[in-house]
Amino acid sequence: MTDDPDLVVANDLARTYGRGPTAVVAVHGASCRIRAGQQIALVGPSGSGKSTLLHLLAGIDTPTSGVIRWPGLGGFPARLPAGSVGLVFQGPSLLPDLDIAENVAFPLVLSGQPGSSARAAALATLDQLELGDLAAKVPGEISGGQAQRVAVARALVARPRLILADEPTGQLDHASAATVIALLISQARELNAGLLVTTHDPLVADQLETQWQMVDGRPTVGADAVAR
Amino acid sequence: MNAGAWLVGLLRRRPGRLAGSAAGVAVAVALLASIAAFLSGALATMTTAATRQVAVDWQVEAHRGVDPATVLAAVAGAPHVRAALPVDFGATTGLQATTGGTIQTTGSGVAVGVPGGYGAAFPGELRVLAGDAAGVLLAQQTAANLHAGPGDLVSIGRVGLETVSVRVDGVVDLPQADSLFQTVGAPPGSQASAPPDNVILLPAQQWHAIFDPLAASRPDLVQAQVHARLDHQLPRDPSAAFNQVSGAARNLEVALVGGATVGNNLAAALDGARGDSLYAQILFILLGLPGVVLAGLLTATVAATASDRRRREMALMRVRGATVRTMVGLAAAEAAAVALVGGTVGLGAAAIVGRTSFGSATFGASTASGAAWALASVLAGVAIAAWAIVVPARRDARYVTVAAARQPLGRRDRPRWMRGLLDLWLLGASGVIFWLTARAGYKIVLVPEGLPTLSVNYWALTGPLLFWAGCGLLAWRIADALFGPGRRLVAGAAQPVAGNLSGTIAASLSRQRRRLSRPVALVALTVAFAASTAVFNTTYHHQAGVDAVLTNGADVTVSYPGSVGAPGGIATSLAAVAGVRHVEPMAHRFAYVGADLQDLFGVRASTIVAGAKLQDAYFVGGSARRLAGQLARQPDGILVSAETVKDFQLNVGDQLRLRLRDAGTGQLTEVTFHYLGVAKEFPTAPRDSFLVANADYVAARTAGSTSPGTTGAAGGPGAAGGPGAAGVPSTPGATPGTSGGPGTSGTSGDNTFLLDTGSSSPVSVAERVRAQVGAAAVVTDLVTSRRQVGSSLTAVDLSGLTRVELGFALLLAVAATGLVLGLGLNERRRSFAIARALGARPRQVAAFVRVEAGIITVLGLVLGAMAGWGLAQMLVKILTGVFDPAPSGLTVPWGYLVGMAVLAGVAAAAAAEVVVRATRRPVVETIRDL
Repeated sequence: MTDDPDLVVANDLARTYGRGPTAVVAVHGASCRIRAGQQIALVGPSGSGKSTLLHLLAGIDTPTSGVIRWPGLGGFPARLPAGSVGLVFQGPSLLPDLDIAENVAFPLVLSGQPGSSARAAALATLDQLELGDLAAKVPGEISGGQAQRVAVARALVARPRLILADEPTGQLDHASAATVIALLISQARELNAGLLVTTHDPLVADQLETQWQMVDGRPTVGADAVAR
Repeated sequence: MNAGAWLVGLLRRRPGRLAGSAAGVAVAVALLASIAAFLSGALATMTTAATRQVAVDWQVEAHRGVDPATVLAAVAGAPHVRAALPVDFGATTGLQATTGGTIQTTGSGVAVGVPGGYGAAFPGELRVLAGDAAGVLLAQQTAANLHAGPGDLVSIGRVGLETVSVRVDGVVDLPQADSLFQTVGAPPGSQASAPPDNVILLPAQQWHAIFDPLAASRPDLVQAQVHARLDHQLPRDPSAAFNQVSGAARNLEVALVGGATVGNNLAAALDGARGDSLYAQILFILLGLPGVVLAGLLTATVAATASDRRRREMALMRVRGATVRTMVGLAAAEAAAVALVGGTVGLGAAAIVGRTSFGSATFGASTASGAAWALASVLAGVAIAAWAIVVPARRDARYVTVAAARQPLGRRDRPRWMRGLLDLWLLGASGVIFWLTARAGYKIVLVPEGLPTLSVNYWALTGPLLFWAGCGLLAWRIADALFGPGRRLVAGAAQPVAGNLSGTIAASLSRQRRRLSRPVALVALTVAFAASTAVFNTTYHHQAGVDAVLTNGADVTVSYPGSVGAPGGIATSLAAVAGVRHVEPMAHRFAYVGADLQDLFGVRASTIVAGAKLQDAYFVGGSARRLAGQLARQPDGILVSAETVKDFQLNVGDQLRLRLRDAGTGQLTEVTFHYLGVAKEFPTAPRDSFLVANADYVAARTAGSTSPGTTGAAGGPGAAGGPGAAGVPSTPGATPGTSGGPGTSGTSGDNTFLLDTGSSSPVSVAERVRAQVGAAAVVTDLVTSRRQVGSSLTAVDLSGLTRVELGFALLLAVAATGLVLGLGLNERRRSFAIARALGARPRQVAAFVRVEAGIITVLGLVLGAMAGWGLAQMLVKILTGVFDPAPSGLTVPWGYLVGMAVLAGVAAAAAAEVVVRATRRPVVETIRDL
């Protein structure tokens, strides 16, 4: 990991699903940069390519064309260090056969930490997010809102420099959504991490410093493309 | 939605699910129908084998005062009779021959009058050893006793009449002497223990000329019989054949109005075969049924792997207005399609298996039973499909709400059977049934007193089946405990593969233990089935070989009548015959133990164990080698039967005084032995009681005043009081001093030679030996003896069944590990994809898959092997009646078992690697697809 303020830099990204006449172009000509401490809402209607762009920025999907780098995370050209990116999925994403503490500790264990210290860190994070009571439960025993807050805890436990959240409030009521967004913003600020949240909810988007609009498969600010 | 559209949709979108379920049904149907094909072939083989060994199907004995011609006409006119000839028996006081300047005389005997063409009509009754096949014929042993052969004159003694001389035309063997000289109409247990030693066969006309005068004065000493050969186009099932033949005999007796009694040799042979056929059916139940159950479990497991997805589909349909009835109907259509495809493929496969392995493409002993078996197999397939597909669909449609489709994991209650200790109850019940069966002497096939039918003690069969089921559930419980409270052990085992992830993996497995314990139980059940079947079959084959060796004594056995003895140097010349690897000489004699006449085998202690291939199971109180060593150290040592030990309350070291015929004086002389141990079996020995001692010691103690080289005369049946004409031990039949020609075998009186032919064919070697020894000795070989004396069950070639069972067992074991594991892991691809999205490297995801696959496979194999060992022990004990002799231990086919374990492991590894590869697909794609 480096101190480069540019956490991720994308140039002219494109992502097409399928081939031939049925091919779907999800992202096209997308260029953007996320810096440490920057908090961005990526907004747009369903099917506009928000999730695809987020997956590309998270490194879990591969662009059809274009270049993407993570200079501030030390991951170039492809493989990112475990825990450097905190990822929150749109739907249920907790591993059903691990309890809440184990779910939260999972990224730390994957990065090589011993199980005991990973669990201690997970419990601390859960306490910090006022989720300590859920530690021994399994995902099937908690509500959707609680599960999404646990997912946020899991994204934060490794103290990532880049937090990417894909519609984190999409399946939550207003109160739960507000709690989750507040958590993300406060934790990102505390970690001085870059934060990108995809959403089609203007109320959620308004809480973030910057808004990018997905237009024609690329992020824009107002009528302009996001600066490189 | 109509069923057709639903099925087309399934074929397009879920071909794997349909194919997997249909394959499971096909395996079940194929296994069931294949074993039916075996039964069909086996029953027909048993009937054929039983009828083939009978030389004369009926011996119809005319009662005194009844005209034999009337009986002959009635027999010849009876349905199914193909040939009927009159045969007469007359008692002689003895036979005498003068050869080489000496007079040889025998004890009492029987003269049989046979009409012309008898040998052609009943080819199994007479076997020509020397001279002509017609005319005056001497039985082989009689010829040996008299030192007579073709061309010699023999005098026939008659009670109250002058002796008559006849010229011998040939020497014959009477392979079926037991039945030929039976007491017609006597209960089986009261039959004479042995046929007469002295037999002469005369042409019918000559017999009448000689014995009609005797019939006039002593009608009690002659007997008229009609021998009949029947049409052997009998039902394939031995029971049906037995009923047909018995019924025909009774019909004949009724037609003769009590004027004759039918000695039904054919029915007697079929009676033994029908008992064996029941054993064949028991083998099917114990070895085949679990395979069918396993195939059903596999089908259900395959169908259940996609149960969550199926629930979601159902929920969606309910939201759109489908009724429970509609959804169950669609599931029924799916089950019907699966059953149709699986049933057709299964029957086709079974027909091929039947044709290639059993020589029968039908599934039953008759057309009707074949159709019934085929239908039953297909119905079993339908039942399995319904159980695996319709039942869960109906349950889900009726009770599962859309919301409940998202079931919480890990906190489910323990299954009801586990809480109720069902596994332990099953094992306990199995133990009790086994104990009761053991107490009853392992009697599975019952012969109710006074009833013509046989029955099977099916209750006893539930013992192994309950044990198997109990072991499966116990494996489930053990796996559940290991994954749950024992997760530290799992973490420890996972450490080498998973490193610091081992704790997380153990935790994950712990919460999935309800799901993971099921494949462990399935693998354990499959391995137990495969292992026990393999061990049972191997033990059976081994014991069949032992039985044949015990009966014949060796690959080839050469026996000289005791009164003649073997010529000097015969052991050396036999060893020189091409194909003979080793010759083990023995002296077979008779000795009185109290009033009981028993076979005595004089052996060379130093070579007998290896030479006669003695097994430890033949002896009690020590291994074969140990007891032979004791015999070698103690010249007057003797091994006796358990019955003798019991009768005479013997303890090891006790003195035992036997009476043996002295070679010099011909008188019985007392010889002292010391009891060393118990012999249960011995090559060529009878089953009830016999003795084994040092040949040199016996020879030295009975050599008397004769010069060395004449001891072969000392103890032959004719000389030592063997059974006389009436089949009862009687006074010695040979006149003292008449036996023992010059040049007999040697100081030990060897008259039986066990030939090891190594890799050479016993039949070919026996032919060469016969050419060398001529008619003076009886030469038998292992292959022929096995065919002649084996039970009809051992006549059945179980190798086909073994191949089929072991093949299916292997298939099931591979499927239980590979298919079930693969499908189970495949359903968790989403979790693996999320793990990758969270930063898991491919090797870390692979560790999850490999640890899970490894633990399930190893645990299933270990628990299955243990259960299989116990099950094999139980099967071998309960089916003791199948074995002859009973085995002292299991014969373990290590090659097959290791191969099966390796294949199961390879299948599991392959399934795991397929899933590992699948986890390398792009994460987003996987999450989106699932």
